[in-house]
Amino acid sequence: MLEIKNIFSKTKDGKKEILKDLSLTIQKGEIHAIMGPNGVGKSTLSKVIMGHPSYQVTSGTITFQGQDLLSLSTDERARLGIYYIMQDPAQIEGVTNSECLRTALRERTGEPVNLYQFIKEMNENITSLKMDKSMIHRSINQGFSGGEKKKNEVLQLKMLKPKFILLDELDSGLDVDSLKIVCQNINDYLKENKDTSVLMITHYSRILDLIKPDYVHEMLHGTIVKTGDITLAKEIEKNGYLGLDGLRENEGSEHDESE
Amino acid sequence: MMSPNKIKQEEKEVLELKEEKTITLPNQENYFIATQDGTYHFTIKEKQTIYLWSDNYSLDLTFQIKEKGDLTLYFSCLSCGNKEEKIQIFHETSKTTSNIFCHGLSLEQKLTFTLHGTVPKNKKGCLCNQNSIIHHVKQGTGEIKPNLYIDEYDVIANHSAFVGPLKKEDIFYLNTKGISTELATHLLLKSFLIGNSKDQNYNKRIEQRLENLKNRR
Repeated sequence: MLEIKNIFSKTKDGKKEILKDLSLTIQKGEIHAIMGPNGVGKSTLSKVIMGHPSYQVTSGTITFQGQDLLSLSTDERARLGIYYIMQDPAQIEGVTNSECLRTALRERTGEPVNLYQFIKEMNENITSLKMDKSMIHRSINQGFSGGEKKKNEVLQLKMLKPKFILLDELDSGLDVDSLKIVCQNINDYLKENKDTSVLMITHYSRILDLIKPDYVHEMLHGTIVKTGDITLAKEIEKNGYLGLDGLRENEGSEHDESE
Repeated sequence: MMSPNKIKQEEKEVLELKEEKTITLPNQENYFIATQDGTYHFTIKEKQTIYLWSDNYSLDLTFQIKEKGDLTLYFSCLSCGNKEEKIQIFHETSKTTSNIFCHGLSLEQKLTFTLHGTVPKNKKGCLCNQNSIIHHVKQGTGEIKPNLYIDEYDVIANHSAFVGPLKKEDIFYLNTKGISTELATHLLLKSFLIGNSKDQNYNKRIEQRLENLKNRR
């Protein structure tokens, strides 16, 4: 479904190389998790997949269902069925969640949205995410708590029905109860849409107890250095990333992933 | 004193600003649309909110705030040439309030906001706030001149100003939902210029203008 081959990526100004010869293949219905310490390029990888304007790909390829992603704009990638939940989603004053969703749905189909169907489906999803119904008429993520933001992103996910889900530190800013609700909803979606694949980016293995990955990858210095199953995550949790030497080597190569 | 011309009477009245005059505010919440360049004087004696839309006109607006005056002004404008929007606030009584929000979109040449907030000596306990943003697209540029003339210690006065393009992160966020950059820009500009106005007639005027722009692009 998603194939990343020998990707090298720099910041837009060309000053910093972040991804270095990274390759990853994700098949239909697979769940992959990437773990790694701060600053190794995990979030950059998700942004590069989505075509964030702050990064440039200097070599390598990314294909999605056989289509060259790098030649497409971010919105075109999203309309192919890739859904990205950012670590800290933007807050946009004045554009309501409802308006954003209806526009996104209309952009996908080219048809006006059936309002009755839209409201019905929205209400079902709002209930299952234990959200306040009024949030849909509020500005996007404006004044939302960390938990509300992530629930809102998962609400949009369920409405937009993607084929591939990119989760960048889903657990960041979430309390234990909200994390369970959010993960339950993603699992429900995956159960109903068995061909949908997931790439999760995380620091901690706790989220992997809630969304169980088929593969766990350890990332260091801009590339994947180790691949295994859930036991790799447990091992990392216990021993740290590649032991102390790995971390020491990593020092000094930090960059701002939130850029 | 003259009353402004009425454009429509559905929902709340949206009033037309034209000809030089002193404006009487009919409601607590008032909607105005400028239809020519001009100088306008408003007197605020109670709690009043004004939404004012100017489509490529240069306005010189003066607000005298007296008695129990408490003004919230949402001024929005679109500019396609060298335009200056001048807003002057005079606090003429103690414990009066002004909160001014100016949002401008500059498409060509230069849009300038000149804001003066004046609190004279002995007008105690006033609140005088200004918040201005100019977004520019295409060849447009912008300048904001925020001035606070405060001659009294017992005053809260703030100003903030930003001139620049729409935030790339906001456009990227909407792109990740599958919304094209053109449509994302349209959504962001609409929310920027309409703000929290609930009046359908007023909002439609701005939406229509932006729709025309989108079609031209």
